[in-house]
Amino acid sequence: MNLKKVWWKVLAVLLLVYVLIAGLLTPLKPGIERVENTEIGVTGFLSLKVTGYNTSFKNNSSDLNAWLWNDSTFLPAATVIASSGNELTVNFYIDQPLKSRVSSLVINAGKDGLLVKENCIQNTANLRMGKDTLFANTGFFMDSGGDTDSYESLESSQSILKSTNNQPLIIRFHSIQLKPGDKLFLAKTDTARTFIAEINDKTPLPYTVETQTDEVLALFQSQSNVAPEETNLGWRASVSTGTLIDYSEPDFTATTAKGLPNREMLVETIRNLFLHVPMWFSMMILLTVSFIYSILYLQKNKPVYDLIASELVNISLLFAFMGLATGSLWAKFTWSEHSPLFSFNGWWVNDVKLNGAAVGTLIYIAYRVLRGSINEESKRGRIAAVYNIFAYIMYMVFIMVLPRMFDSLHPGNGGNPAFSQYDLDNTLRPLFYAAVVGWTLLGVWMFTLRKRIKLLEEKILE
Amino acid sequence: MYKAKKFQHFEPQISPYLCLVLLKEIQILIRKEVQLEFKKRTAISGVLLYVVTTVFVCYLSFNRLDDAATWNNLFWIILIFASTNAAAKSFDEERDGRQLYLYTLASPQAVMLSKMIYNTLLLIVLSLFSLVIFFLLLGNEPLLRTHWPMFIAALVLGTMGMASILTLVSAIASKTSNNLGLIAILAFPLIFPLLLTLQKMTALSIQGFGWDVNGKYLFVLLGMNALTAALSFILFPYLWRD
Repeated sequence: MNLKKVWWKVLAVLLLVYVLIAGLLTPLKPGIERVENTEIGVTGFLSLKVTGYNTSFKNNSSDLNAWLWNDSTFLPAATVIASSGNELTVNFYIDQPLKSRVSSLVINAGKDGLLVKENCIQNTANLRMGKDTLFANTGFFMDSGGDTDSYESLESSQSILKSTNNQPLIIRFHSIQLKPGDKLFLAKTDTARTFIAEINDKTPLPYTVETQTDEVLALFQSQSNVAPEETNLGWRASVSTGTLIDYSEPDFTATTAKGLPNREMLVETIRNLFLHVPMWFSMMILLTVSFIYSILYLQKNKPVYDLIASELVNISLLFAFMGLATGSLWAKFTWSEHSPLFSFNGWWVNDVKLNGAAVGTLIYIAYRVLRGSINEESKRGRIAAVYNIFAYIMYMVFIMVLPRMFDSLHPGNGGNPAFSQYDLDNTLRPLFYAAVVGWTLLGVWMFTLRKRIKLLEEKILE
Repeated sequence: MYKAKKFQHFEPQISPYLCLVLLKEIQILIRKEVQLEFKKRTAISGVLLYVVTTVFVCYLSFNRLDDAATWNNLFWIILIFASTNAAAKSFDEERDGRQLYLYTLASPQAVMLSKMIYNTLLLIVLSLFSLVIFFLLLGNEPLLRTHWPMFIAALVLGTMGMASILTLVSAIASKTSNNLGLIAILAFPLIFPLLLTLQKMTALSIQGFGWDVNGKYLFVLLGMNALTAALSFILFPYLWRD
């Protein structure tokens, strides 16, 4: 076999094999799958149960950091405790009413990169007026009032408290969860816990403790004499003559882990990008070639041009059906995630792009019906070519003009980001282009086979 | 009898003299169509009766339509079916020998343009008639706040667009053995973009929006009409010769 003639077939197969293997095996970037307990009042404690996806929280536990992202301000977490690779408890202490009603969660997961779950935390303050608002108004936590100069706020137990000038730290506890009988501990290292004070009836809050040390790793609260293993959320402290190390805002420019983009709602289904979208690309490319051959047929009147145009439409229809099927599956499991699996809801969504796809399919099925209803060969070619040209241009109008006038659920339309906008490190792009070229070449290959069959059939008839 | 200059080529040739000839041909052909219609009166009365019957069926099932969206969508659905019926007959007259005779008299462009203009007139009459029937049977409560200039503009431009698409498609379908069945499946997918724009535009004008909101849809409609008319004009000469 002459390799020079079949190189593009080999290329098509290689590209598609590459797309299938790399597209299915490349893991997704780490991300946040689920966040629970996300309702907060005006102020108070917020204990979020975070479930990660493809994350290794436990291995990165020394680098873990979390922020509540509210209206362009970042509130650091009080404690971040990794219980397993995919499970994390993040505790926030919110001492001032938040500006915006919804907040996002930002987690710096070390090697896993920066994980963001947008707008996952709801402020339900006006549903629970009373207690929380009362606290906010009484100024119970208004510590920074007069002492702003001498006290810096410690808001994260992940931060190390370090005294400036090597003086002992003075820590002030102010917490609604501190009750009489609670014992307070501090840790200088990971394991050593030092008892510092016990809360009693007369203890005024904020409760001030002078420690004997100049560096504190974590603070604990316990009912018993034994300090707990993990930092308890029921505290907040501020410290005088101390500086806070590691108190920062999330670094959004940091390099993240390699992998396919991990998007909300899409998650693993993003791999369908290599199957669904190239179907439409290949279809459009083949239809454009068919359109050109129809014009050529009208000008030159060669029967083979008509054959090429019609067979290209046949292959395009195959791609259209595949595109509809993959799109339907995709829509069912992303846009209509919550509709029951065995109901008819969600397989088809009212969307201008879906309508465009349906119209394209209908137009070219009609083209086949038209060809079928004319027996005379030259007449059939001419009339089919006229319809093909007219239909192609009308279809172009449909898919070029209308999506700009109507909203769409598709990425890149109606305010939705296009895929290219969140493929920052270009893992999708080469796979996607390889898929487009691969599927198109496969389509051309199928077309050449069909064309040969038709020509042979004609020969036999003669 | 007027005898037009016979064209050697199918491509439109632009010169002042030929344009004049074309205009004269179109004028005569339209007059022929209208005269034929007035003489026989079967086509137009058939289509008008079709509208009345369909709207009456809707009246029996809905009695009165208070919902503007339903009113609007029903109106357009009935209108595209009626228009398809009306335009399907465009090339019925020109079967067999008479068609050949016609083509020796006039250029294909003139035939196409005259059919298109005649169909546009027919569909405008049809759509206004449908509007009146709709008002009579289904009520005009949803349309009390309508911006009428906009609504009528949408109606006229929409029927123009539909006329040019349907004329070409009926020319295509008339070449096949299965004329009436084929025209709907060939034409409807091509009318969808027009129909979507029209429905949106009339829905907005029913809510009382004027030029400021609907202006862009108006331009889209104008663009589509120009495109379909130009395509029909260019492609028709390839259709008629057998």
